[in-house]
Amino acid sequence: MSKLRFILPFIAIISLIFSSCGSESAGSAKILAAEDGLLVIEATADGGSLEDALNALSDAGELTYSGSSGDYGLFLTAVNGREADLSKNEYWALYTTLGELDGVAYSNEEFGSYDYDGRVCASASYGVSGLIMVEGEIYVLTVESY
Amino acid sequence: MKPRELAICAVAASLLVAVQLALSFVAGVELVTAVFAAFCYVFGARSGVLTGLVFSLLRCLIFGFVPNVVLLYILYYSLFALVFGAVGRVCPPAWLCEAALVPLAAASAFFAVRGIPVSAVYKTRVSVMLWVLFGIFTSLAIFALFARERGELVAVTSLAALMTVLFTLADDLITPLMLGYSREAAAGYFYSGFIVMLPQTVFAAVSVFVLFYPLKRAMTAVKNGKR
Repeated sequence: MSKLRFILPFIAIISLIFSSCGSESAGSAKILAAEDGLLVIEATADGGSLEDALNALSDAGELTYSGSSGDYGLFLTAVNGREADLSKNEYWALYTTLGELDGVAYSNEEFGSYDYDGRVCASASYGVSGLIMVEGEIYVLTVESY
Repeated sequence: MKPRELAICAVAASLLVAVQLALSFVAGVELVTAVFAAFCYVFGARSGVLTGLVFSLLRCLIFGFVPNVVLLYILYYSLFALVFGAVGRVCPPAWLCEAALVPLAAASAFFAVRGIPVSAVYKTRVSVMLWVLFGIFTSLAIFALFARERGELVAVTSLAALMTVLFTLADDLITPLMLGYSREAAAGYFYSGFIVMLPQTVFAAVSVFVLFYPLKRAMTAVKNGKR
């Protein structure tokens, strides 16, 4: 019991630290294209993550999505009802025009690229939870297979 | 190797896969380190290496066969088994624990002050984690100085934290090499690895510190054939 008295507050403090470090305020975004297996979003204001933007768009009834939580944040499994078929090795890939900002590389063409409306979007270095919204930048979600 | 020893290794490998799968839905939380450390400590390096190999291959049935990940797991868990198997035979002296803990604490503080180029979304989280790690390593170093009768616990906890860091560093080396990343891409991969490494290291240190003795007792009972 005396050991528990020491351990439980310690675990509680650690949990509090983990939970207090969540994502920031929601960013503003608009949908440029929404087709089967493709979603293109443009940030209309700075701030928040792509996940926050997806949440805001979902709350506004403009899209639906689902996913699971993983080490790198939200892992998207379906957008607008289109599920990535794991039996066909499909997944939702993420591309963005957001390159390097404040010394942080948010995408890298070396991992792949996607052309949208004449703009080259590079494969994102982070998932939807880690990618920040920067005004004017484009974010492409598309189903791909490996 | 006797049939009983083989059977125990098979059960242990299955248990590790189950533990990894059960907690794979909770970000940053894993108990494989605590369970496998206690197993290698009690059953020794030979059983540990065999179990680590089986675990590394068996998990592919669930998590998929990704060559760089399989290589990483095989190398890492073999080294892990050798290290904890050796600690089970000869507990390292306190000064050796200090030699591992002080650089880890210093590195945590250095990166916390300097900052790591990760996504703005994760900056606060990474900074807090680094200070938490600094606190854990410093506390363990002080604990190692004043609680010498618990040197074994300090040693396995410190090594668990160190090995968790090594896992990510090994991944930072193996994956870019096998997938042919450029220097810039490898650097990006290295920094994004901190997001997962830090909570895993914190959790590995805390879980091993809390669970090592109960797991060691349970596994010693299995080894001695007690119910």
